[in-house]
Amino acid sequence: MYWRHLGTTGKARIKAVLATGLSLTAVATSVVLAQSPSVVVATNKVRPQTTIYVTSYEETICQAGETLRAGVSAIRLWLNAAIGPRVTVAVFDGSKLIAGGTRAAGWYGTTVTVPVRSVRRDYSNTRVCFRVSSINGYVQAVGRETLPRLAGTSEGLTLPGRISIAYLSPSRQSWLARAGAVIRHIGFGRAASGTWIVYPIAALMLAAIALASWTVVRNLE
Amino acid sequence: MNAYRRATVAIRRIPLAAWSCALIACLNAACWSLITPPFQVTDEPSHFAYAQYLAESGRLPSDGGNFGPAQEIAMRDLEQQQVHYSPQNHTISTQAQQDRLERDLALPLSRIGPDAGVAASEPPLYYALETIPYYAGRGGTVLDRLALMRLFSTLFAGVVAFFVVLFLREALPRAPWAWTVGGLGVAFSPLLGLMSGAVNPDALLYAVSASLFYCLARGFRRGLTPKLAIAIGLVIATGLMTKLNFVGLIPGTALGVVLLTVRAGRQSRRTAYRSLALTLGVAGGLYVSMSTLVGQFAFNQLPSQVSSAVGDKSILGESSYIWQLYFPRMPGMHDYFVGIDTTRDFWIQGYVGLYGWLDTVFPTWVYSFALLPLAIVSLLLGRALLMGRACVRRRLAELIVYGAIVAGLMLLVGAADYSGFPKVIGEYAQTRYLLPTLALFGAGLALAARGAGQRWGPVAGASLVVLLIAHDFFSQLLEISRFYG
Repeated sequence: MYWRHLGTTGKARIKAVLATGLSLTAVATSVVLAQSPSVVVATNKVRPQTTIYVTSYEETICQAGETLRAGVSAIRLWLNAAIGPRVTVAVFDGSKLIAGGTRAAGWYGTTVTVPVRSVRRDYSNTRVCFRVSSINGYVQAVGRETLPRLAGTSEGLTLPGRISIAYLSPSRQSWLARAGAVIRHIGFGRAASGTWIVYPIAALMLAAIALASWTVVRNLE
Repeated sequence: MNAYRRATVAIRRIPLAAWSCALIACLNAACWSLITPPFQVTDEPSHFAYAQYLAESGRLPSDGGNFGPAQEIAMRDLEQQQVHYSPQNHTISTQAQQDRLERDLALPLSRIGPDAGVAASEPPLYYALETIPYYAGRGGTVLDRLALMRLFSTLFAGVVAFFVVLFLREALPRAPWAWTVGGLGVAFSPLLGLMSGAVNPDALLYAVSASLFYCLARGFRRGLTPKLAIAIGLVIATGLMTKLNFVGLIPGTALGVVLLTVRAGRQSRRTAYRSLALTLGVAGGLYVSMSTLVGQFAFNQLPSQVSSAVGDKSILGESSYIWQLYFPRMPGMHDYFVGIDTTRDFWIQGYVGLYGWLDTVFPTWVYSFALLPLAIVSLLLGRALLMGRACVRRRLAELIVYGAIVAGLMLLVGAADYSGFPKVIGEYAQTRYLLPTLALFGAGLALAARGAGQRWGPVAGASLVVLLIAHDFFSQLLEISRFYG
């Protein structure tokens, strides 16, 4: 039974690993909490009501009349697919590319958020184009029907409406500053509502970590 | 020695690590059950509806979408439809919404809805067990009962971790410290916490599967005895009555039982055949009698899962599809998953973090970063197997059995996914479907720790445990940010 030969040195090593690892986790948590979540700062005011376009092929869809504010770091498109395709977004001011980004295939959900390089000033009447590729099955673009002159286009064809788009940038408040609001939010929509719920959540997690630390020190020494 | 004393002695022989890992898994799953909003885990509305209808009417539900007025109203007030699959939408957040929910929950609405959606085809054992907390919540609202049912389900996470440690005790008897690494690694698996902290038969399936791996490992180490044969039969029957996916584990298990019988036959043919008969008799007898009682046979549901049995698609095409669902495409194969690295995008990312209704994801860089510890663990695991190659050769039959169980499960999931092709692909490409093999995941972690060598093995093991704790913790923070941020 070689682990006995590790003796106190082995036990000390295990404790050091645990202390270091848990401290690093605490530091990483602080870093995460000091960051700001992405929040919607603007939309194109097109409510996602109906399917505007369905495609199974690589295509580029564009719509003009969009506004790109300074500091926008991501663009959210209302696209729906069983397995999300690769989405490449490009924002043009006239013919000049001012922002762009790509989201790899393999996402899920009714929207896709594509990170883009932020711009320093507001641009009005921009043209937002997005190309869908690596399509598995089909992709639906969701938005609202509009007059043809306001509608989006796909490969030169006019779509029956506009696609819903939202623009995101980092919130001015960090996660830590929003902690109170998040805790209040956790208290809603439950069997027994109230912010008290965060105490058992924290207690359960801390108990699990404490018991795991004890188990590791006891059994791995 | 009487039965009581024998049982006491047997319990005392169970390593303390098994109990502590079980408790930790329960605590972790309970934490997940509180964090996750009601009905915001994949298919939870259907599974809850199944248990509710069974409890209220004593009958099995059909596959429609009518869940009963009480549940429908609760889901409407919680804005469940608007939130699921839509990470941009959070759960209800105002006092007015909460007041409406509480007012509607107090209404004397019927809890009887004849349908359970996608859950309707599943066997009834898990749902029958869930009627216990459902009844315990008598007088409470739909959400009270859901909370109790979730807490009850967390017990199965404890059973998983418990049997994983016992499995490791049998599979790696010379490294007791490594059992703890594997057990804790499983106990802190976020996906186990998420699924066991929800109303979902996967929780019981994982527990049954972990106990199956333990029974087989015990058989390979200590031989097939009549008692163990009965236990294996009981586990098989329980698995078949829990979830259809258990069928995928049957071919590998059958191979294991046959090999154990052949080995036992070298000592005493009579005892060996008696043990085999006991396994078959207990598994078959219990399964047939329970299925007859409830009027539903799991095997009858299989043709709709395994498409090639009923469809007009080619076996070759299906084989190619199933291969590509898990592994990179080989030369000459048609590309079924365009632009997707299925191993990484479906299975690795699915384990690293894909929660809620697969709509709760980490930033992209996290999945890339996760490949680093995965590579290190894989290297350590490879080193351990290389160092113990003589032992691997000796126990090749046992390893083939575990491999056959994994392959059977992967085939079943792949065939189910292919049934939706070409209309929908990747529907079943969810890592939770592979969690019945959690015992092997635990073994992989334990071996990886051993791969660091005698001197540094425990240190590597402790590092792995801390890494998995951090993974679980940040996964919970992710869940909080997605639903309440």
